[in-house]
Amino acid sequence: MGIQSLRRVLWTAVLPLAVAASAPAAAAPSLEETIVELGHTHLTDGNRVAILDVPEVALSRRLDLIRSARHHLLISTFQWNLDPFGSAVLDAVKEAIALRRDEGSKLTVLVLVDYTTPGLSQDHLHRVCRQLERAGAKVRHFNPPSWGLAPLYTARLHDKMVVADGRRAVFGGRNLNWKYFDPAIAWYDADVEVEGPAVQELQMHFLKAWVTGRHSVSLWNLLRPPAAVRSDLRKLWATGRLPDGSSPLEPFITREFFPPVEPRPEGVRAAVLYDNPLVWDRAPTQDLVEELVRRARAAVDIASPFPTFPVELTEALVDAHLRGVEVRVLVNSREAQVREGLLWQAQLPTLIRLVEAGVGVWGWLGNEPILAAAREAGCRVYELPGSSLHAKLLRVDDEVAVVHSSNFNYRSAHFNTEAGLLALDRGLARELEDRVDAAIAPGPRPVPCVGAAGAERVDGGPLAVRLTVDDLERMKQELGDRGPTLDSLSVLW
Amino acid sequence: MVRPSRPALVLAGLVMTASLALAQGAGDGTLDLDRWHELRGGLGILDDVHDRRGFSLGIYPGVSAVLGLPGGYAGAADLFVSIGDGRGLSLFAGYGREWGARADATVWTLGWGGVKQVPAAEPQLGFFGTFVRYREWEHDRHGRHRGLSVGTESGVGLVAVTFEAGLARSERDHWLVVARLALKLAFPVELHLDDGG
Repeated sequence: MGIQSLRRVLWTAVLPLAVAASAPAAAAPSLEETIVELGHTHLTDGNRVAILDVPEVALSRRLDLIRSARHHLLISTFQWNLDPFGSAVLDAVKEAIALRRDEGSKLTVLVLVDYTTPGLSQDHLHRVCRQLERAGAKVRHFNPPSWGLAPLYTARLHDKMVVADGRRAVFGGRNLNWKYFDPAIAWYDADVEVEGPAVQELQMHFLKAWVTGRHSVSLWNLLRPPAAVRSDLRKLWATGRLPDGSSPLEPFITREFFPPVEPRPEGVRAAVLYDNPLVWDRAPTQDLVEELVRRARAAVDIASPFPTFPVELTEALVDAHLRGVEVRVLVNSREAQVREGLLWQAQLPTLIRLVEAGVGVWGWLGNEPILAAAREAGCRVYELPGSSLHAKLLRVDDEVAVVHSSNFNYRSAHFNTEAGLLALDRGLARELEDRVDAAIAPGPRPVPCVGAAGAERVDGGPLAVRLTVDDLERMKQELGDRGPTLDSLSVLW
Repeated sequence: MVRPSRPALVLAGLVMTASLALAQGAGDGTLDLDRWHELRGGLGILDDVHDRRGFSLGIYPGVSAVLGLPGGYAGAADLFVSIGDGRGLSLFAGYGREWGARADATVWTLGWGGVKQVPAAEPQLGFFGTFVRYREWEHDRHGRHRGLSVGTESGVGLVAVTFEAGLARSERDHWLVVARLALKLAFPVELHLDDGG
């Protein structure tokens, strides 16, 4: 073999190896890249974030937020009742408007509500809206029937937020009525109070939803192909403008609505997770939650009051468990269930699959065990854990904490607007971990109890108990052969 | 779900709070709407694709109980056929008959929408559409009427609800309001015509 041939052989053998070695390795996306890409969101630094899971504190922070507003308040809610707690919030809004007017300024209050709030709550909501409008607030229904005709788009508003002056916000799982704030009967729920750049990310979503309502109910858009109207809305969300270049957001693009916000030096890196079925076919939150579970290395805690999980999430939880991740799922027990009948049974396929696979599932017991202990001791307890679980939480490893309005189920994935916060913060992840630890701790759990003989303590017992093989058999019996029927009705839950 | 590769978007999405300061714009600090969205890469919305399928043909027969004006109540049967491009654009047309207490009608319908997949634990078909409807019937007292109405129909699985509103006019220049609510028992069928992109 001559030199030329040898060179040819070497190049033929070595060059491909050299090219392959120098090519950048196809790296898996980082956690932050995954959050941004799947969550369709934007990470910001310097946020102050507090988890609000005590009813009295959650109410007082909302009232404080409303009273502190100087320029604008943005409120969205699925329910707003005229009970003492809903009325307290309503009165605070009315007083804030009146106070600013007396000071010679104007407090702009925009309220977005849902048209599908059921039954008696719809009547309450209607009356609340009338009072708000009389006080000077503007109220819109999200995705209302237009021209007297049923809404073609099945989207429903389910997010719950109060945003003040583009600087502070409280958002998460709570609507505005006694079930969320009355210490005697409130559900266990969670919101976040946020101050920092993330608030304006949330605010922009609210304003887009606000202007969207007007756009989709025009007669012209009623007669256009639904796909064309949705395309307009997607363009609006992506660019802030409609296809013709105009922007219904222009009136809000002011320094007063979007004041410069300085990041706090000790603040948290966070992203707002917002879902809207008029814009996305599947909720970004759902896609992201499932991927975060798939990526988990050590631990996943997830809480949902209505765990009719999509199969992708259920299987992600099972797979995580099987590869050695500690997975803890917190749901309602049968006794503490928020909804009965078919709405309870619809959860059974998910719970059965998880328990059968060995995933740790705990059922929240509610207030009854501690009330029974108090009755037996002849005293009265004032620290109640929550009559039912309503919080929607996710913790992944020691770095991701999510507090949301999404139930991580089918309705939230495809039919609801939702809003929540994802924080990349060890401290907040630890807080969620501690809360789940406390919920599943076996007890005893001494709780102050006041009786005729003075203060004493009773054993409040565990807050939640793990579902066992016996529970599995009971659930299978209760489900019977209704699984496929319930699956086909999953649009309802 | 298709996950697009957008290094530029990801980089934009990782921009820290300084981006907010930049997006405030020059001078008075007012937010620059276009820059705000550019820095966020449009949140990846326009590249987000779920379940894009090819062309499909929908067949949607149904029987309905109808309440409203004119006539109070009626029974109806119709057949819609829809064609969709798998990206959300879909057109449908249909023919139906109504049998009421005081008149029988013939109905032609044309609209946007059609048979589509409904996301659920057990995937199933549904129907969503807005329509223009031409209705013709003989009234006991006022003779032949011709009416035009607009409406929406939404259905999941075997059940659908239709809302309709419009006007009708008789040969004797007698006008009637058309306002109807129908509950339908339907049997949607979808045939995929290609695999799509």
